[in-house]
Amino acid sequence: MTTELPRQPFRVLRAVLRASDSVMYAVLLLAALVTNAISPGFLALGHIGDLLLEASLVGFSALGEMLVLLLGDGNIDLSVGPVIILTSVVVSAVSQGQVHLLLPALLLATLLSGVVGLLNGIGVAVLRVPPLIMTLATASMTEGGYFLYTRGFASGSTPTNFNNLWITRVGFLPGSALIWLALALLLAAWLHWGKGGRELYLAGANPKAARITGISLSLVTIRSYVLSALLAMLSGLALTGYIGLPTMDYGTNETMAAIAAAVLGGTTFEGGRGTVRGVVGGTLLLTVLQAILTILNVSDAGKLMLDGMVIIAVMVAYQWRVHKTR
Amino acid sequence: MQWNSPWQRAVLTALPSFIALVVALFVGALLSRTFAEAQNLGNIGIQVTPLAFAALAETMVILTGGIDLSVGSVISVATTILGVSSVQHPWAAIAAVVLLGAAVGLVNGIGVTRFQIPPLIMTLGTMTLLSGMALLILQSPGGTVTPVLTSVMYLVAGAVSPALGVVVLATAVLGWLTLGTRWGLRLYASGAAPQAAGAIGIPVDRIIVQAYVVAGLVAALAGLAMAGTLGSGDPNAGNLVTLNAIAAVVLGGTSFAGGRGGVLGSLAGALLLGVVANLLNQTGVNPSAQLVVEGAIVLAAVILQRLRSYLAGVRAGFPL
Repeated sequence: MTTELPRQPFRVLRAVLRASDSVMYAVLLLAALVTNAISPGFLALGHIGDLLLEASLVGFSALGEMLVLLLGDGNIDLSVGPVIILTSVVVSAVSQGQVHLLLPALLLATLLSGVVGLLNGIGVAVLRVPPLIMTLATASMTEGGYFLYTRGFASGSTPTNFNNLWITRVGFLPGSALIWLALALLLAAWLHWGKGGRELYLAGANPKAARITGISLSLVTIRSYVLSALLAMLSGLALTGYIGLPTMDYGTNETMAAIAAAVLGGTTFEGGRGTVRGVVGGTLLLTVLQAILTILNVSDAGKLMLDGMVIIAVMVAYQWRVHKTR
Repeated sequence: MQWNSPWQRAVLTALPSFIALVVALFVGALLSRTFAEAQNLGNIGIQVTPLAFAALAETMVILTGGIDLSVGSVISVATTILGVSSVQHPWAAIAAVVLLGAAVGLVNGIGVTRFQIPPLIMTLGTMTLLSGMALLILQSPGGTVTPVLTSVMYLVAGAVSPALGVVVLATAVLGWLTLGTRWGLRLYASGAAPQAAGAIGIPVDRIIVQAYVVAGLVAALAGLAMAGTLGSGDPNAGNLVTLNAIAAVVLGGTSFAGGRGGVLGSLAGALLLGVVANLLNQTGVNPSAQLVVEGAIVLAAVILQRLRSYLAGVRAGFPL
């Protein structure tokens, strides 16, 4: 970099461009505007509410995935999807559409998700099983578990009051989107100011230094995995509330969506890098892209192909920028 | 005796999984009367062939310290291509599948090295793209696969499936490539310590791209085998194979850190998974419970491996 002088007036612009997720937000804005031009009403408040509702279904688990990716060192949570489905199956089967059974249903779902997260955390932090394998194993066992329990056909439903919590709108914002965004704010505050949040960033960015300052890496790791499982459970609750019935369709797709949203939002695999703001944006980008493809009447096949190309293109763009700014 | 040559170390790493395989075969013979019959053993060979090829492909990438999620979707696309066109043009369709495998490997390799995209994300991208391509070619299972492939897959000589023989041959070739050539030495070095390997003049990036291409070619073989087994195309044929292949590689003792393990162990891992799945079927265990059993086996294997290296560390005076 030899020409430093004339850049002074553009300092703000440069800072914005350098912010890790500016490209992603620019793409998001552009995509939304283009779609609005093709299909007027896309950016009407009511439809933005629809999009936010859809985004929130993936959004909770994407935030959880970020907490695990922030650990770096190969940490990743592949059990997100199965936990979502497990939650959906358990809450519907236990509550049977009755309000007074909702509390036990929620407690059981929390307990089961928590156990999956705890197993992941202990396996990775204490037994030192590679995260990919550990979470793959718990994913496969969770899947086997709910298939055994339901024999392939999920039954029951959730109470109407519970469903309304997620779909009723305050202004143009559906409950699910409100809860998601509020939780995202809370999480951002915890990551920024909370002791645990700072520990997580430090442990991910420089584990050796973190250990020297007295941070327990095991504790930080286990905490991330448990939080990830609990956030996946929230995705499961939102999904069930949205549909009103249990669903067993997705699973691995949900896991990949959560990872894609986190990574599109600028969370790196090296750890210590990633923001709530970015992941929320990544989730929105993923949702808008899906919506565009639906509007353009692209078949499922075309959607998948474009998804793949977008993932690769965004990653190439990120890497290219990292190299330029170095 | 010193056990330090690459061949000897490869055999040592693979040994526990081969022992587990033998134990599983004995347990199978004890638990189920039909298990040890020649016909069933031949069936296991047929069932396990696609998975075994996929595990070999996955091994090549994991040795570089990466991971390949696109193996299964290469298989899916392969079966759709063969299902749609292999009756009229068998050899052209087979050639197209092989070319596709190599191209996918090349794209993955370039993304991982030139653009430094984490392998998980890069191959997630190609995986998604390929599953779209499979759906584009064939929306639902259908089509017919050429008898050239089906007849090869279903040849059975007593308890021996010749298809499995091809797998063993492929393992031998890959074993020679990774353990007996200079390229293999460079591959292990690039996977174990990329910076050190680069510092002594090994073209790390080129070696890694080549490893991904080899993986793509072997994944194409898995696709041919899968198509031959199914007899028709299926856009979802490979969906479950990727994770099973990774499990097989882990069972075979290959390390995720790169540069440790090898194809021999992966073959044993794939056979072990195949035998266990067949045994669970034979004994009438619920297919859902198989997921739980498989997860438990993989976890147990990894924890045992950790325990072994921990004990080795204690013996060498490095507790931790």
